[in-house]
Amino acid sequence: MNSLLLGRKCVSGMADKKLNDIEIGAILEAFVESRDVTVASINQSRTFKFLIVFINFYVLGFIIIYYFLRYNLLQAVGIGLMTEEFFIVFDGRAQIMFWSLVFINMGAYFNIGFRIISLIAIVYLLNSTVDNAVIFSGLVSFADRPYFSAFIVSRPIIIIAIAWMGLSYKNRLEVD
Amino acid sequence: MISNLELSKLFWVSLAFVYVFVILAVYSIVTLPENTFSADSSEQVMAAVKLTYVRLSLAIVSSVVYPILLFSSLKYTKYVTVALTAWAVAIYIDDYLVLYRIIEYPERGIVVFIQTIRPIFLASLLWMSFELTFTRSKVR
Repeated sequence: MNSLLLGRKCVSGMADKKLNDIEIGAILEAFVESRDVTVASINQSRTFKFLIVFINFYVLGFIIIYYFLRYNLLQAVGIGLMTEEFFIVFDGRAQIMFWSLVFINMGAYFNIGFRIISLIAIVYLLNSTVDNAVIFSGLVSFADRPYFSAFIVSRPIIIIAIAWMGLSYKNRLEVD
Repeated sequence: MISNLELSKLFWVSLAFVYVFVILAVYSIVTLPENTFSADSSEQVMAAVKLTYVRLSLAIVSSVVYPILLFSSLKYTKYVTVALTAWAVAIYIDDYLVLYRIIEYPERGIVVFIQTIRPIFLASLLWMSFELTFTRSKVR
């Protein structure tokens, strides 16, 4: 309908330059539709889709495991980390990772600042990984603390995954 | 050469402040008293000093590379500035909201002074990031 109206206007030529209300409405409607398409259809590669799903599962998985351990819903093998100081550290980390994940997903869906958000998440993860390596490296032991050790050892994987996701992200506005 | 970059005076003031802050931080860690590493020091102080060594080594590398990058490519300077700002903010959040029971900075005059001016250091970095991201069409 819109394209028909716009097409008719073009055909009528340069003689009649004034637009009536129906034609103005048609133009506005046409732009509304294109904006919907820009927001809703995210034409990303399979790699990107796999990585964003993996990152969501990874972060939410570790947050759930942490809170299960924190509230004694999961049997901790070693009790060396079950102190108030460590809970404060991991509560903070869990909160920050949760909100990073929220912003990553929103950035990907709305196509706003996704690469900047990914860069910030990578920098934060790198910093916390260095902090963990300096402070907690002596506590890594798969026999005594399997969940904690898996969390520390798998950090580079998530950093690489986010970096790869940021690089494989296609900005629709740039492509168009 | 500086005028060719078309950056505001506030950007250069912020950059100068950032360098002063880093130099002060390096000075404070280099001149730490020897007894900081004795067995009498608390584990929290030792953890803070170890972390500061790692962080400052990265800060020194960044301080050397940054001017070279600034005068060669504004596009990459923007990304590096955003990354460094995110890193500085992440350290600040970590120190005050996450690690505050694990680490403790030594009670020295210069360390207290550095902690006091730390928010201004972050504000300077944020200003630089915003200016490079939003006000320079050439950068994008």
